[in-house]
Order: sequence, then C-alpha cells, then structure tokens
Amino acid sequence: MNKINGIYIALIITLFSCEPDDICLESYDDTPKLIIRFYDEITNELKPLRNLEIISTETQDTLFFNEVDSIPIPLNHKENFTSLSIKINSYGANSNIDNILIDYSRKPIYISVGCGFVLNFNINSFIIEKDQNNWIKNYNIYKSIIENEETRHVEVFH
Amino acid sequence: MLKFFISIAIIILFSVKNYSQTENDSVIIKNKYGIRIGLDFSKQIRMLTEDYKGLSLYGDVKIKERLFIVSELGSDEKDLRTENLRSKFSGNYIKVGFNYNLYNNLPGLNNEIYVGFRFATSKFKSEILEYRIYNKDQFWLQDPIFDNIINKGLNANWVELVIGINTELANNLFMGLSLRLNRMLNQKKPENFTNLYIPGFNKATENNNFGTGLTYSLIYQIPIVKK
Repeated sequence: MNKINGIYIALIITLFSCEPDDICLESYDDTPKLIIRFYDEITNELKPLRNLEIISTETQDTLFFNEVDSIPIPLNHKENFTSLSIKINSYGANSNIDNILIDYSRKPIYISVGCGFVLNFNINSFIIEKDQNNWIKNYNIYKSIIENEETRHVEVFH
Repeated sequence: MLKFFISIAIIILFSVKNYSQTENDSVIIKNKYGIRIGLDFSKQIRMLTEDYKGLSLYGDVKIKERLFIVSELGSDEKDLRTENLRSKFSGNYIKVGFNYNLYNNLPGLNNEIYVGFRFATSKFKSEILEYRIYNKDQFWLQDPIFDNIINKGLNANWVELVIGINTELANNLFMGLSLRLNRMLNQKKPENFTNLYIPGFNKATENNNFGTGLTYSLIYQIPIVKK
C-alpha cells in the first residue's frame, strides 16, 4: 500500500512540473536600430537638429523628434533597404527634406521561444538623393554592422 | 494430479534442507517468462489533441524473477507554435534499460509495480517554418516571415527514471502506465536556434536539463519460455 502511495506522490510531482516561458519577456533586447549622429560640417562637433521628422516613403509613417543630436531609425525588416525622408525644421519657413536610402543585408538571430528572432544588419551603402538644397552635406559610415544601439552607426554632417 | 502431489511429497522427503517451502510453491505455479511486445497508446491519444504524430513500440524480456530488460523504439513529429515562432521537430529514438518489479504478486498473478532506468538516444531534425522579428515598437508591419530554415543531423542523449505499473488484463495481455523523469546528458544544438522539442525526450526547455514523460501501453506476451 505504501508503494502505491509513493507512486501517486511521484505522479503529482511530475504532472505539476513547470512549463517553459512561452511569453516574450521585456528584458530581451529587440532588433537594434540604426543610430545616426549629427555633426557640424565645418567643426566636426556634435550639432543638434530641431523639429526633425522621419517619414517612411513606403508607409508614410512618421517619427518626430524635438531637438536631438542623434536619432534611432528602425530599419525595414522585410526588405534589404529602407527609404526615408528626413525633414528638418518641420514648422519653420526654412524646412528642408532630404531623401535617403539605406541598403543593407539582414541576419536573423534567435532569441527565445517567446520572442522569436531579432535581426542584425550590415550596412552596404547610405545614399542621399541629390536635390536643389541638400541639408545633409556629407556622411560617414562609422560602424557598418548593426548589432546593438550602444554606439552610432552613421555620422551625418550638416 | 494426485500423482503430481505424491511425487512432490517424495521429492520433499528425499531432499534435504536445500529446498525451502516457497521454492516448492514455485514448482506448482508456472511463472511466465518470455518476450513481451507493446504499443504506447499515449501517442495516439496525443495525436487527437495536438499538432503531433508519433509511434512507439515497446519490448521487454524477463531475465530474473523481478528483473526485465526493456527496449523502446519510437518516432515523433511535433509542431510547436508560439506567437512569434512556429517550428517543427521530427526524428527517431531508442531507449534501452531495465525494470525492477517491487510488487509481491499473489501466486499465479503477473502484475508489476516497477521502477526502471533507461538510457536514451535520439536523432532528429528541426525546421523553422515561420517567425516574427522582435521589435518593441512597431514602426514596420509586424507580419511573420516565412523562411524555411532546416537543421539536420541533431542528436541528444539522456537518461530516464521510470515508475509504472503493468496489470494483466487477460491471459498474456497487459495494460501499462508509466511516468518518467528525464535528465539530459548532452545534445547537439543547431547554430542560431535551439532544441525546443526532442523526439522521445519531449519538450526541452532552456536552462533546464529535466523533462517528463508519460506512457500508456498495451502489451502482449508472446508465450515462448515457461519455467
């Protein structure tokens, strides 16, 4: 009889053992964004921009920044390129839009059952569309591999 | 029958101390030895309720009064879905070990309450069928990416502690129930993914080497050897 009781106890312990975390915990880092920092074209010092709008040319979704010297840009994870318009001084008379195209390769990195994958990117080229009055004077790809958001990836001079 | 008893009595009379009373009982009762084969029906039950296919065959041989050599062969195919990931694991496994019967049967009965041990090995592959890119903000559309990534040549080795019962339902037909606690020894994980499910082992979790299992079997005894 004691043996049977032992088996029941073991059965209960086995059935109530824990399930793995199928939910995505916030503590995991998500897909890194492209970090652009803004510099003065002459002095090469950090130079913030005001009333910045980033508009996806594909979806017309917009990100807005008040006054920043760096911006995180989410890259399109379904394509090997992201095409954006960056508008500065949005509400002023001297607003100016430059169109940029970022060309990259993508690499999925496994995170967990709950979260799935994140992407890492490798920037191939950063293209600024020429217009009458480009506010972006120059750029430099500082770090082409986008694995995290700890450092800038592209420097933009204006 | 009378002759039989008389001859037993003669044996007792002529044998000295060496034969105890119980051993004389076992002369009268035929203990069944032989190969038993079975099918684990828990897999067929799971097939009704889960995205799962499987088959498991069971075989054992009684080598001593209480000791059985056991082997289990099987194949599993499991679809796993979470919100952000859909994957499939499929492969074959073999488990070899023993069962030790703790139950003191009444004479003539062949029931078991046993503890057992298995060494198990599995060869399998995994497929990532669909996944989402994890983004906390959703600037881009978060629809899943269909990208079939296949990882072949995966394997795992583990041990199992088993407790269970086998009851003789009818002559030579047994019903069995067992519970298992599995402990992973080693596994080959693919690059950039992990083994979420291992055929034979069941659900595998990260940062935890333990797993559990359950079998529900029908077992038939092939009556070859009788002692």
